[in-house]
Amino acid sequence: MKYVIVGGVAGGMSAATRLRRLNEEAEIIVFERGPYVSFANCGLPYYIGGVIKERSKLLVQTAEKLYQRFRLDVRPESEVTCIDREHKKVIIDHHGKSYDETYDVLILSTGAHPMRPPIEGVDQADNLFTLRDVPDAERIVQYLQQHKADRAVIVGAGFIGIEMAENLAERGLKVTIVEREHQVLPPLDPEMAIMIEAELKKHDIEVLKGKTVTGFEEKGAVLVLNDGTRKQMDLTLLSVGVVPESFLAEQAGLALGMRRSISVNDQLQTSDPNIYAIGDAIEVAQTVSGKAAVIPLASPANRQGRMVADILSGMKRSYKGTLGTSIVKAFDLSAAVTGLSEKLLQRNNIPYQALHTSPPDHATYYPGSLQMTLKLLFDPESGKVLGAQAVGEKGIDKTIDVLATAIHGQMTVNDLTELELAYAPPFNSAKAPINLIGYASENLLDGKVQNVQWNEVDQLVKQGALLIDVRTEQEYGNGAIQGAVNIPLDNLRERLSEISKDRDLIVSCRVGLRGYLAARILAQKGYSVKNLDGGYKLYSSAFPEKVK
Amino acid sequence: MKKRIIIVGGVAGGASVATRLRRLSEENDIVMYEKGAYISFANCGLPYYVGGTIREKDALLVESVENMVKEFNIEVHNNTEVVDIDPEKHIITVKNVLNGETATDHYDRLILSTGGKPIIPKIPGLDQADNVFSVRNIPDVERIKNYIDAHNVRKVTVIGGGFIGLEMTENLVDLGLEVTLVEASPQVMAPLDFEMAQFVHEQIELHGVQLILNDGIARFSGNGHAVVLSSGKEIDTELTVMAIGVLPDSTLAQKAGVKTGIKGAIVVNGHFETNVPDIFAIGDVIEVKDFITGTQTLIPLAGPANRQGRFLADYLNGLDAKNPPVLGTAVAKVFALTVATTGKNERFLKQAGISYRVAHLHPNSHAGYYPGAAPIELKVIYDEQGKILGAQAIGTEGADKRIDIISAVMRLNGSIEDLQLVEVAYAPPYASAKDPVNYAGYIAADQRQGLVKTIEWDEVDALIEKQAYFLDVRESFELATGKLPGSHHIPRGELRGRLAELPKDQPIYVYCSVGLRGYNAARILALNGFDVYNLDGGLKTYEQAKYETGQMNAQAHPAAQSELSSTMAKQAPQCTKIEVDACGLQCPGPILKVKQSMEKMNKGDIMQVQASDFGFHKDIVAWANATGNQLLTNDIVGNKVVATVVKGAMASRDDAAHAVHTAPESGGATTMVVFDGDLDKAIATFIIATGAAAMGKPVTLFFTFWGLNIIKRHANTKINKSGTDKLFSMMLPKNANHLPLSRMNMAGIGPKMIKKVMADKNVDSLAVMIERAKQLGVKMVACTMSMDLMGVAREEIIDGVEFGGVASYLGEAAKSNVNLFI
Repeated sequence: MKYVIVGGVAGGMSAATRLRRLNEEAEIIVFERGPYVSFANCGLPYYIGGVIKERSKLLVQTAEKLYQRFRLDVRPESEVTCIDREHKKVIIDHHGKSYDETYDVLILSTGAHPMRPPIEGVDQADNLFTLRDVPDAERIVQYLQQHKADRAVIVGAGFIGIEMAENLAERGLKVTIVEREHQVLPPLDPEMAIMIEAELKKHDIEVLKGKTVTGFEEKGAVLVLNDGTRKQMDLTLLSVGVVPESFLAEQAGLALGMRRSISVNDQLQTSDPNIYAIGDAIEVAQTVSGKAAVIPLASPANRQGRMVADILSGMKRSYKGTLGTSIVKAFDLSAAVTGLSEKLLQRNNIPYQALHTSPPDHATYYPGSLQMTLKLLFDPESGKVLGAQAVGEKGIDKTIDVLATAIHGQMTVNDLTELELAYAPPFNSAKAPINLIGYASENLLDGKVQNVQWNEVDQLVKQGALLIDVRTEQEYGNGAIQGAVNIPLDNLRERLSEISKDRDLIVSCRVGLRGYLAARILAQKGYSVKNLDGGYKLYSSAFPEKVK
Repeated sequence: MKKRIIIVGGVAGGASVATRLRRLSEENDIVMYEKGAYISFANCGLPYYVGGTIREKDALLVESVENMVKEFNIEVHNNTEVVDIDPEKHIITVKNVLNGETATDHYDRLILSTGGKPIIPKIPGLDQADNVFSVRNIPDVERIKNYIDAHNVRKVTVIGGGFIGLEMTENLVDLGLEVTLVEASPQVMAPLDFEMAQFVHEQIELHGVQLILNDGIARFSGNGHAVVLSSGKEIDTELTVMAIGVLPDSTLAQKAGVKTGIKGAIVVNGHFETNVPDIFAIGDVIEVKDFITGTQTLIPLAGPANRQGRFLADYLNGLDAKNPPVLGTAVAKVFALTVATTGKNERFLKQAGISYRVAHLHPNSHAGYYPGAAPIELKVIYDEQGKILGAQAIGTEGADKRIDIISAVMRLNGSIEDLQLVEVAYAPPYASAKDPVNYAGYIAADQRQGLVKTIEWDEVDALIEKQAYFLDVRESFELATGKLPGSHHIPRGELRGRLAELPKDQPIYVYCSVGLRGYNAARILALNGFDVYNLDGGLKTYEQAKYETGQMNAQAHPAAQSELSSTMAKQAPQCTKIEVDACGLQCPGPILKVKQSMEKMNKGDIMQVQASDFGFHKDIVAWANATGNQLLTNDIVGNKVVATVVKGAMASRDDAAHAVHTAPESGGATTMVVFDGDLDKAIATFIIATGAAAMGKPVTLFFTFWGLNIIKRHANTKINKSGTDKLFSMMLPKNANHLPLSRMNMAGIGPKMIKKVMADKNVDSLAVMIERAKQLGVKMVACTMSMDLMGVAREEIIDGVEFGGVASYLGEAAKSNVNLFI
């Protein structure tokens, strides 16, 4: 059997090594366009920032080692330019020389390339970079070393944009982020992303939302925004997203899916039964919605690489879909997401209930405990978990990983209450953040409390609802939502007579817990009451201008 | 209808049920009786309050009595013990523990949340001791703190190596105390399997704790100032913490006719009701259903107790009843390590007759190329269908996360297949693209599908005994850190070309350092028709399982050597110091990095290397010994190993590898004739002897003439001697404490100075070195002929020394490749 793999990073290399471990006799050839195979692409921003000091650390494998260990015929700097499906061969260009290679099975792991929007002057700019591979990173490092670069603009505030902003700032550059949407980190919902935005600003990064770049002037030294602003710039990184690299597939007439990704079935097989495809280039089913999606992430790519090797070796496997769990570090904060966001649920017309909590990452009495903000999205009928997001200093990865596992297992919020997570004071609370949000969700499902969201409260107040802030007088004095009256929780039972039963009530506290207690007291006394989900903390973080 | 619900016990489950009851009903009377002064305190934080990590006592008070009353409208009676229950009349009798007054109260529902009580066995001498404490509540730990301060305590003993025992050990060490930890079973932390517990043993000893396993407390003597163990061993102690476990505190329940089961735990049904109507129970006092076996068991943990409190309140308010079975997920911090477990361990499954398979792996906590990565020792246990039965993880970072994920998968009745598919959040600071849990799933699935046959660490010795064919597939340089005796060696990269060297008529057992290359090699061999097994977890798991407690000083602390040679190094100003960061490197990465950096150095240069893998602490010793480089320091700094090595400061060993086993290898012995009796020469003798012995070499010291003075007894031995013998005795040094220096003796001032320097620099005294040499099995022979000549009697020689003539020396010398005359 002769396997030819196009693309020697992540999925491609996973497939190649797994194929060898399963088939000692097979011929396995890997073509890689760039000079390096199996490099750590997720580490590139940190190499630029100097966190990873040695370039060699990024180079996971070399062609020589891969031959010695796995008898893989790895050919770097060899670009496959054409697939001849009829003759089952590929045409390769190596340093300008062309040759062909036949295959029995072809695996496309061509990845995705950074989008390069056709902005005016983009081709004339000589300080414009994208980041995909080691040579890209080297170009940036070299540029920074050779030019006295002080100011950098990052276009696009996705994962790479945020990581690059941090790393360029760590190198001492003054960084501006330009993002087309009205929030950073579009995979998150806006009220969660705003915490990351605040963290960026805290580290002196300028964040321009709802802005696009309309032109580059003076070879990129001046950047023009859609509002007419012109910015002097030493270096610009374009990180506005990636597009599946499906040129070969398209040329060969293989079926394509959304955003020109390569269509595959659950065997990771393309429309040509002898050609398989994996990684960032393919279309997958999103696990929760079941709908087609392009989810370019390293972990699924690696998993698909291994799975395609298993499938080709006769094992019974099927690729069911990708959840899309991801995480990003932004200075001292981490932001992670799994499953569907509120935005995507709305877009897909999937009914949901959202819930925010602010639990400590571990027992508050043990030093170093810090609050995170956790958002859970679940089905309002069945309680099935649909998505989750978390932002905070500590425990973000752990919390989202467990929730990703819960979604994988189609758990409901009731199941979350029963999860047994490792507890000792340095690591967790006896009621873990996930148990707590499970409890809070159960209360909603059981009708024990009704919530109002951070972006709904103003409208309800306008319609005549009374907003009661149940925090202490001191907390209230330090800042409150406009129009809120203060009745501290400890006095609520005695002061019920002050509250009219004719008005709809909204109670709010700092994070939502005391508000819930107040809502329970009021509901049992016959009031129509809703609790402000996420409390003052979430509201004031989302609307800093609206609090007094 | 309004009900009066009384809760006995105001911590964990009790506090949870009370507050939830209030949130669900404003109407009911909710009453709490707590025997102690505090309710809802953080009992899991108690050890950290002793150690000062938690500074304020107030931090331990989760809910105050005042808050419970004001915010939750709960009637709280602290310092009040419930002493009797009349289930017929629904009446309890309570006693104020401060003034002894009693009263009664009526209940509609009674909830027992009485928890567990520390086991304090009837130990002789305990009653006479005022310095023995347990750790259950805030007054307990205050007593410990006060006693330590008041008596200026320096030396403490902890009995019991469970979670609390270990947490107390760490916190007492944090206070700067000298701690002995005594555990009656062969290992600490019962939820771990032995080979995993060995990582913890090493960690404990790395932090200077004297760890005594397989030995229980027999009695206290001297009013608690000595602990006498079953073995007869006696430990001086100024304070003892008893932490040998807890038992359900069900005395009250039993009085009321409540049915109890295992160890007196209360038996409850699916909504926490006991056999007595209207009496419920939750928390550490009840039996729970085991998630894996479905049988009743005890799992005293804070998480389940809190959960049960809530679920009971739900039931009492008409919501769905649930009393889910318990997995028993737990975690503890043990110095730099996080130790986490879930489900069942191998030992339990073996006893229960449940069949299982295991996978050991040592993945990095996050991408190795991003700073701060450190290994996680991970073990996953699963059954024939692939269902996960349990998992254990140990590491400085990310162990708790992986156990939480696996615990969640187990809740789903998930399989190793699910472990492969779990999609965790990946970016280099947090994980690897193939997360440790995914890897565990991959390895287990390959085992289960028969892609690789594995043997476990505990099968290795029997196979070696049977002269099985072991194949080491590591790189040559790695052999310096140890190998299996009698194993064959073909580096994995050369394997395909050297298949002809391997036997086809017997099974081949391949191994590497952590199991990965072994797996790759096993696949190659299997696909080429060999009958092959891979050593699961690699040499790392096997070696760790063979870790010997009590050997730390002799094997891993090159203190005596280091001080002498650092003085040497200081005298060489031209030597350069190189810093090497080997953190986050997968085994054998750190040793490879050391080797590569060493190649660029000049003789006499010093390398400081730090590694995040604690295994490096052992490996560097063996490597330095085997390669003729001198280890100066080898310390644990935070969660890293920091070692300094001088290039080429020692004579290189001719064989590059030495066996993991201390079994003697032919031709590897060291023999020394100790002729002189000078202090400095004696020190040199014992440094070389213990060094060689620690490397597994048989060592014989042949003491003759003046050298005999070194091995004389300390105490004055009254022996009647006559004539010249007596004269000689008077002229000769009395024992090892009175030896002169070969140079700069200066009428005895020189030896005093060197002893002071040794004490200042923490170098063991000669007497300690001699003792250690004996422990390491160094053979000491006193020359009988010279004893006669010098007038030394056998009684004057210390214990453990053999007597022989020149023939016995020559016999040993013939087997040696190192022969020294000192």
